[in-house]
Amino acid sequence: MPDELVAVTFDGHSLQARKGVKLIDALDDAGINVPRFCYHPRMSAVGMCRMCLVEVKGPRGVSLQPSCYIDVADGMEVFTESDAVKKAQHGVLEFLLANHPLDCPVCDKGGECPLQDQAFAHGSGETRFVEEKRHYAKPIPISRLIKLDRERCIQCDRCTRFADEVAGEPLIDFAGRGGTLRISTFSNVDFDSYFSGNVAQICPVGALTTTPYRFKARPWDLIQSASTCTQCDMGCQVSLQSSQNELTRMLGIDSDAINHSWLCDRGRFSTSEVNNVEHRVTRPRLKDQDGTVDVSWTKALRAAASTIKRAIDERGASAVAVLSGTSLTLEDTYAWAKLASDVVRTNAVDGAADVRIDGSLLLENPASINEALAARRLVLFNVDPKNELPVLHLRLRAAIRAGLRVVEVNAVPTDLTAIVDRWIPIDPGNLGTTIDSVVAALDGDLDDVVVMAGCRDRALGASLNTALLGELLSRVPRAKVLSGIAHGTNALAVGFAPSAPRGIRSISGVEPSMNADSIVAAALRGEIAVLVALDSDLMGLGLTEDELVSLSERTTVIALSSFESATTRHATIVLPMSAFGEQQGSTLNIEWRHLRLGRQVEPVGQARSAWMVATELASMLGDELGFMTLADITRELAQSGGILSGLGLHYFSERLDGPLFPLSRKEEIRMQRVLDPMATPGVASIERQGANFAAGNVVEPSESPGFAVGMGETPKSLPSAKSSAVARVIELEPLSEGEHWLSLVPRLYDSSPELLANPFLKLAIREPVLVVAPAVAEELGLEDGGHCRLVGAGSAEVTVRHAKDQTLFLALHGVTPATQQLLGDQSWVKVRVEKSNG
Amino acid sequence: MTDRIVGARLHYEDSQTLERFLATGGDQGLRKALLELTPQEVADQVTTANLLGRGGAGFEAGRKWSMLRKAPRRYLVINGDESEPATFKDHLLVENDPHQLVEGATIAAYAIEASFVVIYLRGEFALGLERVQQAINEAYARNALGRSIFGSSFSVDIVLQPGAGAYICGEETSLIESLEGKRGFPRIKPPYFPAVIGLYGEPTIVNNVETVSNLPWIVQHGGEAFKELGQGRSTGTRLFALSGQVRRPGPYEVEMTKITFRDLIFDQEYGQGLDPGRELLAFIPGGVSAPWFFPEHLDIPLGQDEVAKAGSMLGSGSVIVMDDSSCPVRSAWRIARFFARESCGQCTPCREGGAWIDKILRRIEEGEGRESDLDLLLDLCDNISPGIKWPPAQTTICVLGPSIPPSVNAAIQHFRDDFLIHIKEGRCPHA
Amino acid sequence: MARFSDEMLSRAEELVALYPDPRSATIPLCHLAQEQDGYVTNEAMAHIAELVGSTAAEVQGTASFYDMLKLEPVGRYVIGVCTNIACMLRGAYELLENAEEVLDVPVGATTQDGLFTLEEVECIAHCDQAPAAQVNYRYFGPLDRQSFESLVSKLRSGELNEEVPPHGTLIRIRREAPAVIPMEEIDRNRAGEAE
Repeated sequence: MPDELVAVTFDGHSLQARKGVKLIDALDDAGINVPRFCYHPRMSAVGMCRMCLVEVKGPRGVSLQPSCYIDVADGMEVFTESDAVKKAQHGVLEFLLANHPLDCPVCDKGGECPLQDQAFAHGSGETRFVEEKRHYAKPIPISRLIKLDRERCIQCDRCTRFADEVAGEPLIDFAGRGGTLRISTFSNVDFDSYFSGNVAQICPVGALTTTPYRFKARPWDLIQSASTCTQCDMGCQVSLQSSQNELTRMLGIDSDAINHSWLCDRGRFSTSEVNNVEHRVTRPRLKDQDGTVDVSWTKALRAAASTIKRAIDERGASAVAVLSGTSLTLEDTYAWAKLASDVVRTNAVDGAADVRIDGSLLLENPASINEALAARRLVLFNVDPKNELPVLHLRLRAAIRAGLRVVEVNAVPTDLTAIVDRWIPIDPGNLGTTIDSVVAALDGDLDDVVVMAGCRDRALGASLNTALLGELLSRVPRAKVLSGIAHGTNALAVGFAPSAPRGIRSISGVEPSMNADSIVAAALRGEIAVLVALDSDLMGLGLTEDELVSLSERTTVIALSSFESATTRHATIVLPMSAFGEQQGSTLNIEWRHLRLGRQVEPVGQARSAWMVATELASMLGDELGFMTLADITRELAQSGGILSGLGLHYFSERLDGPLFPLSRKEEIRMQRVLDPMATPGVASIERQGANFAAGNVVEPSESPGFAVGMGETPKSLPSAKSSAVARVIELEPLSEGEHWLSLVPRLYDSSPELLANPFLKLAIREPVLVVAPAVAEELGLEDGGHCRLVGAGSAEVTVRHAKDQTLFLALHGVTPATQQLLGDQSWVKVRVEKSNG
Repeated sequence: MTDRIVGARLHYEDSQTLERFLATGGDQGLRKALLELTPQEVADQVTTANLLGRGGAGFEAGRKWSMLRKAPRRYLVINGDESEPATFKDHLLVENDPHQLVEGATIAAYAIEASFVVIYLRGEFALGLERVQQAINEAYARNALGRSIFGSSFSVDIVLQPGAGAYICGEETSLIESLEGKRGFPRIKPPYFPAVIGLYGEPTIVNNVETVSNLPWIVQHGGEAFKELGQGRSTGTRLFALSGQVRRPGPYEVEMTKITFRDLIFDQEYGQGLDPGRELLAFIPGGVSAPWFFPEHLDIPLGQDEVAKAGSMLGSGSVIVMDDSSCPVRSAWRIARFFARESCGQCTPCREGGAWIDKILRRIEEGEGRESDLDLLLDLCDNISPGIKWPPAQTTICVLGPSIPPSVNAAIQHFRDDFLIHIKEGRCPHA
Repeated sequence: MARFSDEMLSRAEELVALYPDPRSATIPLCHLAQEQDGYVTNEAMAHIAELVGSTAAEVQGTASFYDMLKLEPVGRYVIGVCTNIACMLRGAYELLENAEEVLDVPVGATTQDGLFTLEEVECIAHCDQAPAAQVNYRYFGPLDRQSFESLVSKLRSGELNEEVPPHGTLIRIRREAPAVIPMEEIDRNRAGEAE
């Protein structure tokens, strides 16, 4: 609905303003800046700090009103410059400064502090407060990541509102009353949240700081660029900041389409692992009979090329396999896809090892994140946003608060389950009715439905997951789909995986047809001569370390990796890869939106971009990929005729994020607004330093030559996945005596080489936990806090926890090399429960 | 005696017992309301009576009820969180006539067709809480509460909720927050009235203990009879709480506008004057939020509009008397300190300003003041309540902050010399 | 000393059941916790959070707002001397000094034997008996040094046990009433009447 405009008078000027918006926003629109501390545009207004008082004319004359709290109404007359307003604002500022310590020179916030800015701009310069200031013990660690300085706090309620309203985890709250009102966690319980870093970002003073950044740098020494967090495929927009060639911190930028300024801690603090040189692969090295030796890039690449060439010559191209992990850029992915397909010509390629769903279903009728959140109904199918795409969890919570109706379909509940409209359990014993129940839950409202589809549950096989989703989509034919794939979107988009959507490939050579599981199985059978692990730890694919050792004896493992892992330990050839923040490029998020990556620091050691390695390998294999620069790759993708037709880099000079792909004429591509500096203090600093992410004009796709190429032809050329591939009747073989259905779901802090490299976040790693309903626990004799052994394809020792709201599943939380041992190639994994040996 | 309504039973030693209650007209108002009148007719009687809220703001009870948003569920909350300094009338009523309170609350519930009633009493009223709980229990036992009360089709429950010690919870939106299990932060306006959005977001009426204690009489005798007492907008009687430096402090129920402050303070029937040899320094006519009065105001009648016209308020009906042995600096400080301690801390001017003013006044009182402190005090007051006018303007969310300036301003304006003696000579002229 | 005992838990559950929203029972449950332990322990706050469906941080946020809810141990008798204006004008600060001397502790402290905690409190609405004091919220006044001493010795000797229960016990009269009427029933009744 278009905004209704009403006539208002601001400081004597007759203007039009959007009816019903907060007065402070309307004043911003009119170019009138009212100072503020507690107001945050992404949270409800509380009118607590009283800094934004303005005079509003009412039936009983003018009165001071908080502009953050009152809505614009027709005929409103507002004064922001009157003596009364200035006096009130000055008074509030003086009150706020009365007890505020004078420690700006040693405060992390100094230089980007709204309170400091206001004091400089409007403060009196001299204090009339001669009394003793308030004193508190400080700083208090309220979690591993956040420290609290209560003396600096101005009680604005931003952090507490964030925890309660945005994150839904009110673990910090005010305590006390009046002059002793203070922020507090409960007793000694941490502010244990995936989202804790946001409170430091939105704190308008230096009361909340992050441990990793504390005393690291001064804001004016930081250089920064706009980038995209690649910890998952949400695509959160960030300001990546560095000092002296070291990443110092990451702040969320308010992208209206994506993250609304929020970040999760996994993303925000990922800079700490990039900086941890101890855990980084820094030089190329080879393993021979004498052990491991550091070598030059040339020597390492020659060794790799000759091994690959020999394998092709002796055993055929399919004996060379490429597996990829999670953090490759779009350009890296394309380069390796082309190398595998056109140069090596192997079909044993899976660049989206975690994707257990047919990508065709995700791209046929795609929805953007904002479309999904504005739909009449959203179906969450086998996704757990909080653990897989954390910031989407926050967006969903806000949307649900605003009235979004959600039907959640999962085998075991998530942290959204309590607030969704309907929860439909996927019951492996009765799969036939699951989709019936979902469709019934839509109450016949089938026209504006978005299905967000993922592959959260590792115990659910790819074919079954695809079949269930296909069945759902065929029953709700007009539904749009939002991908819930946390990792691998780039690979799906360039056809670098067997799960990639059919028909989107622009590369002419061999199509991938072996997936990660079958590649690993083939390698264990000795059928793979060379296995290239692209930023991928094979232990994350269900191999034990013993298996990895025996595999590496028969197969030449080439590891191109940023971080050390079991795979780099056992690989024959190890090549250092640049990490997040060390390389330029771009990436796609779950809504197929093109987003830029900023290079903020030099790669450590001799690390190189994966696309460069691919290019050089190609030439050593006697072929050419045809590009020398990143821009060459972009151009090739732009003209490819695949879904990325029209791709470019030019739009990034005008806007924060890129357009959604595939492009369509109809789609209006809106510029992202850069939020007010008070809301996201980091942005203000960037602007002050002239970094290039200006808020600009709306770009119409038709006016931009880069978008015109290949438009309109791509989506139609995709074959319908719903009509093929889908088995309509789905039944699983029933359980035998003593067997149980398993659910294996990931958590944000499941162990990985990258997480282990992070000195702060590795402390959050927890052992896998088997969560069971009390009734099931009783039946199996499992004690709360006790241990048991699960036996499936392999076996795993796990801790047991009872939970009242649990379904009748054995719900194993934590995807680790150990728990992945349980998975086989069944449609749904069954396990037996044994008493623990320990 | 026509000038006793809410306090009619108080002269009995056993006024709190059910026996005395029933023997002295108890339940008759409720029976009449439920069995003879429609809810609207009860509300009409209250509107006719022009019963003004007795909590402090003096808003017409009937009009408040009429503002109730139309919704299937409505709540009634009885505000017994009496914490305004020197106010003790509700304390008296809950301890000594709890049955009348329960009857009044039930009548109010019927009139507004409430789904649920909470009597929120100040937590420190331990004896009052026990007596009201007893009265509620006995009401259920004789079917004066619960399902189909007295055989009518009206059913309602009353739950007794103890506060836990926070003055601000007397503010109705803050009380509602407290009742929702939260800290007592007043809600920011708009919406201006809980009658629109109140408890759990539903329309809610919050009525003071004394206000609803008037209802049994009004229903029994009719709104007209009530209106005949007093004059103008000030109808009926009020329980005035007389305290401070008078010989006979105490609660006095008087017909409104019929006596003056001079009568209340000096008359043998009431305060009986000051201690021998003392002169009146000042008095506060309606609780410590109100601007002070001085000897020249003694002949103003005890009426809502009469007091307002003279620049103060009748407020919660507490009259505090200061004679010339008291120090106005100390009194102003003690009042400021009260508000500083009771500020909820939610908004800046009150949280920081109140604590600051408290510290400055204390410093002056202890002989450490500076002359510039007086202008500073007035300027800080001005930053909480622009213009320091009456009724007050505010930079704050609720009226607690703006309750600080009236006393500080009155003391500085009228007793500047006393301040200067403290500041320059480091001594108190009244000591 | 910790979570609610079985008996207290059943009383707690009765309280929760009174309200349309369990969170409304937060303050009554904090009083109940004080009745059990004399103050609101951390374990009790965590237990209350479970019972009313909030977090312990929120219960702590609420409890720490209110003067009557003690988050640290206090004496068996919490004596609050009112020093607000009405009492002050009649000698409250002199009474407070006397109380400090009689109990031999400064304001805010607890006597060595754990029997008395002395507080300075705001107006307790007992102004016609000023200067007044409360002991576990039972009111006494007017008090001078002599009557205060006598009050303290009666508390010590147990003479006032009936009148003044230990700190935390607030309302000794239990609610005796049928279970609260489901509000839907009342809403429906009203709808029926309207027709």
